[in-house]
Amino acid sequence: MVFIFAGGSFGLKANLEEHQKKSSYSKALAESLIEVNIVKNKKESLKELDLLAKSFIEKGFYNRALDVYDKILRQKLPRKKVFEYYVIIGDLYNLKKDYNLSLDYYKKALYIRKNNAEVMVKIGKTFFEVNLFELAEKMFLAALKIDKKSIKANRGLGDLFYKQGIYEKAINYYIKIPKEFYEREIIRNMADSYKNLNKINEAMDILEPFLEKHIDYELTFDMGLIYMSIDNYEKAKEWLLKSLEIKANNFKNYVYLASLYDLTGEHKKAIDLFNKAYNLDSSYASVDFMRASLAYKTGRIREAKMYANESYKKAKSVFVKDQAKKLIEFLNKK
Amino acid sequence: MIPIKSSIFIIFVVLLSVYTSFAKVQDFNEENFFIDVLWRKAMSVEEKQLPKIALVLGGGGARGFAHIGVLKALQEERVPVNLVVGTSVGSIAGALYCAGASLENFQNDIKDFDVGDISNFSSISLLEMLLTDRRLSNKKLEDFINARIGEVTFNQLQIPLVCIATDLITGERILLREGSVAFAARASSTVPGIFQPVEYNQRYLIDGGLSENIPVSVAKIFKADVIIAIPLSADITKNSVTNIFLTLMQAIYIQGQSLDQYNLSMADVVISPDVGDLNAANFAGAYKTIDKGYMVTKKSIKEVKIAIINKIPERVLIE
Repeated sequence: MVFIFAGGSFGLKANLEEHQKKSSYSKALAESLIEVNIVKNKKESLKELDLLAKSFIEKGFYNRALDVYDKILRQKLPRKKVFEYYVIIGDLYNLKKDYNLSLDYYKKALYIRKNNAEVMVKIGKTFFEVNLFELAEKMFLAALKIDKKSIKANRGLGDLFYKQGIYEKAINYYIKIPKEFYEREIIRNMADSYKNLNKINEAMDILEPFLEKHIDYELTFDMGLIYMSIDNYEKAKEWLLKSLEIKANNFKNYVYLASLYDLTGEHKKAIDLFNKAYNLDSSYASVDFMRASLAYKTGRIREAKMYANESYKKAKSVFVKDQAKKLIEFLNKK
Repeated sequence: MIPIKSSIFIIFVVLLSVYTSFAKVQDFNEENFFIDVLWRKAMSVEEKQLPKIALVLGGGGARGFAHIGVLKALQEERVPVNLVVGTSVGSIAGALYCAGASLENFQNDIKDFDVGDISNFSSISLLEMLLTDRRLSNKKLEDFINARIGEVTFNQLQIPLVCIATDLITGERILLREGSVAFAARASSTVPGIFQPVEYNQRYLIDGGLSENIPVSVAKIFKADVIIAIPLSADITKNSVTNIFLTLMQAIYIQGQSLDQYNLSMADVVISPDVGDLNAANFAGAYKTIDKGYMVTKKSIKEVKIAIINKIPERVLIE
């Protein structure tokens, strides 16, 4: 509680200081904008406006940046520059999640340079953001026709198919990306795709090299689940314990590890971990159900009935409630 | 009176506490975890203690490619299957699956599938059909299936299979579960009026879709505890009826609709790939239905697992 107070106090103070900084900064920027307007040399003016817009973007003032670009585009510019600005504006609207306007500007850019793979990828990504998967796929494929090795297009298609659960196709595109460009998210998606395709060795081949070099709670936990899926419980325990070392006091970790101990007959360890999970969050019916099951297996019938009743009361889904009811009926015969 | 700054601070702390307790188990899906735990327990019990699980693969012509996607997904999720009952294209998919054929290889194999691969369909033979009594032959379908599973008989299959055909003369539903698997699947897929009926034990057999397109009742006869039905129903309002074949198909669909609905009501799980807009004769557009079958099955896996878990006695799951 003291820690929270201290943390909260620090947070609030930091926020206020940040706000003050931003206000004085924006005031300075606004003043420089007025100065730039007075500058008579058009070339200098364009350069200054460009820098100003970039500063606004860096600080997160997207609307102001857009105002500046609007000013810039009113001038007579070479097509190359117009193209570049259209793309930047499209990116800005994307950041603001204004996807319609983002698409408008990307399309304007594409009108100037019809075979620009990078803009096609950006359009594809925008369609992807709004779940227009068929259109996204078309754009990524169009980009690949122009640039067969486009990492971004292959990544886009991989992500697209992954999101739709078409794991085989996702993998087909991810593997076209050179390994040195494998970011964490690609690794996670590939491992998950392989796991869903029951290609466990491939999943491990993707995750293990990454985990040798990085400490990553989520992916370490995923390794544990992968081993669980192939019934290699010893390895699964190893990885789940490792993930617990990275992030201690973790509800999800406790319940999965506990269920593993239950499967391997290590009831005491399972009970211990389910109790820890319960202490972190007592609202889950499934935890009470497992405690009931373990209490029954260790001969504590009265306790088992109590936990089963708790499970029934707390159950939020029909399935869990049904199972809890069956458990109560089963225990009542004992 | 609490100063304003202190009030803001207190509200901030309260909100922070609420957020952190919410965020703590934000990424924990209880139902998924619970299903996972019980499924693992279920799969670790002896086979004889598990419920009998039947797959019912409905007919639907070219839409039947979706069955490949469905079966692939079920295989990946390691759903145990004890019986397959198939009608028409469902019989063909069932034959491949029950014989243990590689679905992935088959999927690659049929990328350029053409109806000429399974029949003597051509413009000449169509003309012959119109001018004479001679109908097309789908004998090539038998060869097509045998090439992929070997010339196996029903008792050589890894999973029991029943193929549904119809007696052209009596209208009876005929259950084929002995002899050549490829022959049975062919008989089950013989579209009347287009293909020559298949002679079998003094009967003339045609497409099983005429008597039972989604044979859930057959799975019941074989005492399945959990029935997973995969209908490939057409959205008949979108069907074209511009030629004899398509008109015949439409007639079959209309007739079968009410029986299909009754059968589906008896299934424990219904997995419906979204293929209703593909015409049964449109083999050119059939390949993309594989993904549809796959995706809908992946989404339905939870339902499948729940249906199976619910049929396992509590004693078995707890002890």
